[in-house]
Amino acid sequence: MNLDLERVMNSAAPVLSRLLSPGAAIPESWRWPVIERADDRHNSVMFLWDDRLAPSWARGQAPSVCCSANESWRRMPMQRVQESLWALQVTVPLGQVHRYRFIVGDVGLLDPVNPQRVTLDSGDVWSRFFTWYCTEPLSFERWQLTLLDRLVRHLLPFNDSDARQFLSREGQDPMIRRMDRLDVSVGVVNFIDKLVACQERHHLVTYQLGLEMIDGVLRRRNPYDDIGSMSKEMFLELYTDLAISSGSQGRLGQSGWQFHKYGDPRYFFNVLRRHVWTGAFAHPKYGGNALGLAWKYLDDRFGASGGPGFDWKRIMEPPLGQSADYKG
Amino acid sequence: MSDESFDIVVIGSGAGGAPVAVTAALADRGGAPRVRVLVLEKGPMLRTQSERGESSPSDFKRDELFNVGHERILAVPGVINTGSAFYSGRVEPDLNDEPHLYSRPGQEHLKAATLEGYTAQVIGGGTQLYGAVSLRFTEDDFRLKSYNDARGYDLAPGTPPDTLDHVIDWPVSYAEMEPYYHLTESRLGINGTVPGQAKPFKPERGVPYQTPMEPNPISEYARLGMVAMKCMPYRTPLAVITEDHAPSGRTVSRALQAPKSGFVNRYGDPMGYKSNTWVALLRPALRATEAADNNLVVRCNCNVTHLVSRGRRVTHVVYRDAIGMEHRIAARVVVVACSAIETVRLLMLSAENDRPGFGSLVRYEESDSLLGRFFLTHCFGGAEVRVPDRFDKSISLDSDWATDRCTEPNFLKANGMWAGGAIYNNTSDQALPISLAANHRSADLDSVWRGFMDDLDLRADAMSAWLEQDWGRRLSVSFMANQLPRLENRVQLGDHRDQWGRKVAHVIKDWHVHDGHVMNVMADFCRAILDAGVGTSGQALESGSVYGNGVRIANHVLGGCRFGSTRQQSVLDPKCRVWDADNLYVTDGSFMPTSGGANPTLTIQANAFRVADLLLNDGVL
Repeated sequence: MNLDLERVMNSAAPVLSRLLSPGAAIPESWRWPVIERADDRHNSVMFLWDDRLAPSWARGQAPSVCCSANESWRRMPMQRVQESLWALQVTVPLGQVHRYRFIVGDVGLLDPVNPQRVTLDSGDVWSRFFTWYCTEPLSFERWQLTLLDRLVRHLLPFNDSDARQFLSREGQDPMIRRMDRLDVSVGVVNFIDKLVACQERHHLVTYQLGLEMIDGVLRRRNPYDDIGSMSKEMFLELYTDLAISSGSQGRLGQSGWQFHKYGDPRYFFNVLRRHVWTGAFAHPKYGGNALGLAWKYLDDRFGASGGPGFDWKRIMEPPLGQSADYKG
Repeated sequence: MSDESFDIVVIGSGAGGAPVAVTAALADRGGAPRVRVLVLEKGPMLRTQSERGESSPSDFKRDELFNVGHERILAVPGVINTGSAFYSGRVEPDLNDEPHLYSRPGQEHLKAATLEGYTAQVIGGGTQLYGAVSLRFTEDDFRLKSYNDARGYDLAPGTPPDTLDHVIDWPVSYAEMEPYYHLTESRLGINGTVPGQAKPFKPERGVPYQTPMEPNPISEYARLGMVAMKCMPYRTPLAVITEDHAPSGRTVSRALQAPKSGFVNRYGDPMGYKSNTWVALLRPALRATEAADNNLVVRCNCNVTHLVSRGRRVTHVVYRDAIGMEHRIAARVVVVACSAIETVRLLMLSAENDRPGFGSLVRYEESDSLLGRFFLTHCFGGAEVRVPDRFDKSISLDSDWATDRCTEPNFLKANGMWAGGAIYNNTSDQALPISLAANHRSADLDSVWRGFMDDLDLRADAMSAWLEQDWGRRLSVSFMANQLPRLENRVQLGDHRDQWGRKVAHVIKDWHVHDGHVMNVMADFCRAILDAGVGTSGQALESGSVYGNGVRIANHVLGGCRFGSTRQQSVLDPKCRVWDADNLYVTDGSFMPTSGGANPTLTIQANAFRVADLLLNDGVL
C-alpha cells in the first residue's frame, strides 16, 4: 500500500518528537502499529521504525518487517520517510491477530514502542497486534471469560423482559444468527479482553486479581455449582457486596476475599461497570456491540410516536450503518 | 539548523491564528509580491471525509471513544491528584505530556493537574471540537467600566467595594468590531437568526447567517419557557453550515438533516460541516494560494519552543518538528495564538531564555508587569429538566434557541449585576449512550466518569431503569456570563517540566463573590425558563453553576495578555501588539480584558480579522 506521508507524520509525531529529550516517557504506545480502516473487510496496518529507537548496531541499516499476516513470511522492506524514520503499510483482514518483528541485518527485533507481546511455545517473543472486530481471546483464560460473562450479563440493562424479547426477536435475524458473538454481554467480555490488551493494559492486573477473588468468593458460597450454572441472584448479591465493600470483616471477607491481595473490591466494581457500559455502546470495531446491537436496542426500545429512539444507522458508515457520505 | 524566512509567522491555527494568516496570505498588494505566511500548529493535520476521498476513512470519527476515550493514569509527580484517572480525547493534549497545573490564589502549593483549560491540539485548534455557538458580544460587553461608572455603584447589597477595580473598557467599541463580526459570520459559515438579538446588526449589510435547520423537538420546551419568561428567543447562531457555502467552497449533502449527528460538540466533524478554521478559512486559502503564488505554508506537528528578539523586534521563531528536530524561522512579524494559557507560557519561556532581551520586551517579572494577569473564563452554569416525552437527541447540533434577556440593562439593574450574559439551550449534551454515562453527575472535565462510577446503585435492573428514565429526556439550558477580571487570577510558569523539559503553565484562579451572585441569578433564570417550559409535566433536575469550583474553565481560556489603551493597564496595545515590541502580536483569547457575555470564539475570530487588516493597512506587512 502506498504511504500517506501526512498520516505517517501524524502518527509518528507523538512518539518521535520527544526522542531528543532525555527521560521523556512515550505516550499511548499502544497506538503503534497504526491501525485504520482500509475497506469493508480490511484494516491498513502501518509499522513505524525510527533508527533512534534501535540498538546502536542496528542504526543506519534498512529495516524490513516479518509478519504472520504475510502467508509466505516474506520480509517486507520498509520505506524511508525521513532521516531516521521508516514506515511500511500493509492490508490485513479484520478480526485477526498477528505477530511481527523488525528485521535489521539478519536479526529480528521487537517493536520498541508497541507494548503488546506474544511468547511462543518455543519461548520466542514477538510483537503482536490485532485488527478491528477481533474475537480471539487475548487477555483472559477460559475460566476468566466464563466468570466475566456472568458478571457482565447481570450488570447490563439488557435483563428485563423488554430486552429479552428484543434479543430473542433479533436472534431470528439471519445476519445476527450467523454471528458467534451475538449476545451483548459476550460482546462486552470481548471488548474488555481487547481493551486490557491494548489501551488499558494497566487494568489487566485489576481483572486478574479481581476475578481470582470473586471466583473464590462464589465457590465458597456455592461449592456445588460451577460458575456458569450459578443463579442470577448469586451475582446480584455479589454486586451489593462489591458496592458496599466493607473490608475483611464484612461479607466479602467472610466469604474468603483476600484483602491483603486485593484491597478494594469497590474499585474493581467501578472499573467493571465503566467497561461494561463502554463496551456495550462503543463502536463495534472495538469488539463489543456486535452489528450495533446495543444501539439497535436503544432505537427499538425508545422509539416513540413515529420518532426514532436512536437513529444511528443514518450517521454511521456502511456496511454497519447507512450514511451516504461518511466512510468511517 | 535551517534559517528559512517568512513575512509573518502565525503560531496556532485556531480562532486567533487562522484569520490573520488567511487575510495576510490572500491580500492583493497591487502588484507587489504577496505576503509570505507560515502557520505553525502543534497538533496533527486531521482531514475530513471529502479530503480523504470515497475510498479512504476520515481522520475524525463518529466514535464516542474518540472524545472521551480510554482511561489514563496521571503520572505527574508532586500534585494532589497524582495517580488519579483522566480521560482525554484523541486531539486533546495528554496531561502527562504537558500538564496544566491549577490552584486557588493563596494556596499555590496545592497544585492539581487539570484537563480544564485546554482547547485542542490539531489543525483548526479548539474550533474543531467546540460546540460552535457563535454569539456576538453586546455593545456594553465592550465598555463595562464606563457602563458601570455611569450607573453608579448599584450592585447587589453586600458586594465588596473593590469588585470593579480591575475592570477596564475594551479599546475597541462594538461599532468598530461590527464589520468584523459580519465578515467572520459570512466567511466562516454560520446559521442562525437575527430578530431577538440584543446586538445591533447593520441591515444594509444583509443577514450574515445561513438558514437554521429544524430544531430538535425537545428544544420546544426551552423555547416555550423563554417566551413565558418574556424573552424573545432566536435561533442560536452556530458555526455549522446548513447549505452550500461559497466562501469556503463547501457543500452540504442532500441527505435529510445531514449535518445533525450528535457527534458535533466535542467531536471533530468528519464531514466538515462545522465551520472550524481549517475547513472554513485555511483550507480554501491554501487552495487559492497553491494555484498562484504558494505564499501560505501550514506546518503541523510543529511545537514552537521560544521566540528570539533583538532590540524591540522579534527576529526568529524556534520550533521542533514531528521528529524532534529544531528549526529556526526568521520573521518580520510574529503572531502568537496558542490559546491563552499556552500563549502566556510561550512568552514567559521565551523571556526566561533571554531575560534582558525578550524578558524586558514583554516586561516579564517586572514590578508593573501584567503578563499572565487577569486570566479569565466565563461565569457559567444552568438548569436541567426531565421532559415528559422522549426524543432522539442525537439528531441535533449543539443548541437551538437563545435569548439575550439577561444582557438587558434593566435586568442587570434589577438584579444588581455588573454584567450579564447569554442563555441558550443545549441539545447535544448526553445525546449519545457513552456520553450519557460518562457525564452522569460529573462536575468538570476532570471528573468525567466519576459520577457514574460512584453511583454504585446503577447496576442490573436499576441500570435499565436509569436508561428508561434519562435516555432522550434530559434538557438543559445554560448561561454564559462575564467573569470579573481580578489581578490575582493569573497564569505563571510552574516548577514542573513537560516531557520536553520545559516548564509547564500554572493557572491560579478562583471566583469573586460577585461572580457567585451573577451565577446564582442566571442559574435561577435558567431554572425558571425550564419550569415554565415543561410546566407540571416535567421534572426539575439540577440547577447551578461553577461557583465554588474554581478550576472550571470549560475551554474558554481568556485574558492573561489583555489589551488596553495604556501601557500601564495592559500587555497589548489596541492593535494587539505587545506594547514595547515593534512586531509581536497576540490574537487568541488572551487579549480580552473582560470575557464578554457569550461564548468567545466568534469574537476572537472577528478581532483577529481586525488585527490582520491593521497589519496590512498600517504597512507593517
